[in-house]
Amino acid sequence: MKKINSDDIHIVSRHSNLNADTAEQLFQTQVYRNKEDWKMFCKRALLTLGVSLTLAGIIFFFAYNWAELHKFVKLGLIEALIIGTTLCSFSKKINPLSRQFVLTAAAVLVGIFFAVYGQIYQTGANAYDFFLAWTLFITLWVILANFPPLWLIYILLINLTFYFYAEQVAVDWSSEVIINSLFIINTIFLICSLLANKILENSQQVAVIFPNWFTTVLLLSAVSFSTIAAEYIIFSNESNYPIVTLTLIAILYASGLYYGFKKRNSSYLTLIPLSIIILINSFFIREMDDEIGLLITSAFSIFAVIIVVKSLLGIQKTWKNEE
Amino acid sequence: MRNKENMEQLFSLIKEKQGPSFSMDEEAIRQAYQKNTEEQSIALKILAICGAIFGNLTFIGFLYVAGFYDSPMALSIVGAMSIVGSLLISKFSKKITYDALSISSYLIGLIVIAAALIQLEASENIIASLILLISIGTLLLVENYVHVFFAVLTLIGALLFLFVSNFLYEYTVYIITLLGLLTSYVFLNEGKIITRSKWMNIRYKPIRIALVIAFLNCLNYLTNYTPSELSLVNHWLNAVALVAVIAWVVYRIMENLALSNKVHKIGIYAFMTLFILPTTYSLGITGSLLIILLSYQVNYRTSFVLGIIYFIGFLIYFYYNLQITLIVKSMLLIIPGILALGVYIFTQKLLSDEKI
Repeated sequence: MKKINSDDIHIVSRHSNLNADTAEQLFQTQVYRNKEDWKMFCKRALLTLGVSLTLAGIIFFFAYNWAELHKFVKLGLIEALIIGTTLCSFSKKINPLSRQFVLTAAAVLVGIFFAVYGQIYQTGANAYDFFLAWTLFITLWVILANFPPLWLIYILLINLTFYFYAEQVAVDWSSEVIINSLFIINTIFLICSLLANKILENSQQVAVIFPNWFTTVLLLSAVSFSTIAAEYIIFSNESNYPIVTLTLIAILYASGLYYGFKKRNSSYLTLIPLSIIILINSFFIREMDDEIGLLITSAFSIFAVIIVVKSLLGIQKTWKNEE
Repeated sequence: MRNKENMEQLFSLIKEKQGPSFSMDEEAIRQAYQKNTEEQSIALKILAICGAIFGNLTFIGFLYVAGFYDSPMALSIVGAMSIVGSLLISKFSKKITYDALSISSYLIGLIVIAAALIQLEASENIIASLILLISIGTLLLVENYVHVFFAVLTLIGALLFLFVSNFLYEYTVYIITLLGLLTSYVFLNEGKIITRSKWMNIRYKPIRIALVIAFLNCLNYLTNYTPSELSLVNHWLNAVALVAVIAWVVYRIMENLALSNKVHKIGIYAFMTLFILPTTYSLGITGSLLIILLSYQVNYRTSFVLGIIYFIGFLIYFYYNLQITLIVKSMLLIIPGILALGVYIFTQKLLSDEKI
């Protein structure tokens, strides 16, 4: 039997004469945490809180004395932490997940090291140099760790490096070029992660490496930038590549909807229609910027969402029936 | 969704516990499962909420551009109609499909009525009281999850606003502690509450999550008042009260787990007191620990994650607290940290293989 959850007890209680004692018993025995769960929780919580609060306390202690510390002590401390965490990741005693967490911590410490270095020596380096160095220096660890949260940090660093390059070095680039580039970069990351999953799935050598939540975050990122790129075309009179951009967005959305339908992934079937609704709203606001336009836009938003939700419910029902 | 065989097994388990007196409406239960499956999709909920936000923003823009803001009467009528319309939609259509329309109308109604009252130069007390009454009315009349959720949030928000606007902000800390107590009661008496009446059963879940969010956000508000601005007496009285609430929660958890060993119980209380006391300098940290404990006990993941996020947030905010020096903050963190590590090492064997 499927395990009883709290929804089951709520539903049954609503349409029966289930009494309070029986309900409490069901919650205690079927839903709530038992002794074993609490033992596990206490073990993990004591260790996590113990380590994190002590570390935080030590960081606060050094922050108090930071100005008086010699520059070699400041850099030495962070270097020692980087070396310590990296060596720790080689230890055979720790499990693979802990190893990946430790390498992630090391990758973050590299960034802190560069920040402190820049602060001490006032090198005059701009943010672009900082993020570029950080990205390059952790590349090997990211590939070796093969840990989705670390991949996400890495992709974020690449985005930031590109953004600051555009802002501080390539100052003649227009906003349109920057936004479109970020849209293309994030779409490429999304496609690469899906392809990597497909190749590995087919080769059956290794389990899928990029989980659903990871590809959903990349999808959100790609759709966000595509929406901003399209908004720029709608509201700006200075767009130089409207047809190319809109064509790329149309291809991405059509492929995304097809993929979402084929793989039964609601995220694609929710985010993409949401973006389209936003863009149509923006178009209405541009064309009819009077009170009637706003009223039409308001009504359109609500009714478009109703239609999309209804369609999605129908699609989900079809999927369930097919299962 | 459960199939017929699963449901039969579920009913027989319940009959085993309650006896032959147990009776139910099977068809209603089947339909409820069907509806529950539809409502579970988080993607659909987010879509409905986004639709509500867009609808809201553009409709409010329409009201502004069309000149409704110049006429408080027109605004009041639109606001009242929106709220009534939203309640009617919610009452007669139980489908998630129309949630966007219903929620949008409700929020527009509240904002527009508040705008109308501001135009009429009504006092803040009257505006907050009216919103309070509308929230209570919504809570009593509507069953929709998101409506009840927003109603509880606006009710608590309006109540706090009344305190703050009447310069009783020092006493808001008591409301927040009472909120903590109420949240704990709701979490630990789920069985009693949902079986009391169908009315409570339907509203239990949105009320619970709304209380958690309200409590955590009120603690967030409180952290902006450092002890020197908030009277020390009020701060520490409430710190003691919050520690007492946590002690009560720990007591209930130990009771549920049927812990009998007195030495273990005393050890748990001693550790809890020594660990929690340094955190009471920032009530946000203490409060978020309470939410983490409650959520873990009842296996409620959403609120557990929220508790952890707010705990980390309050810890980071503690760094920027200007009332105490970094060295004192450092000690306030190291002491419970080392205590936790010490207890971990000492109880390693106990937590691994000994039966409690």
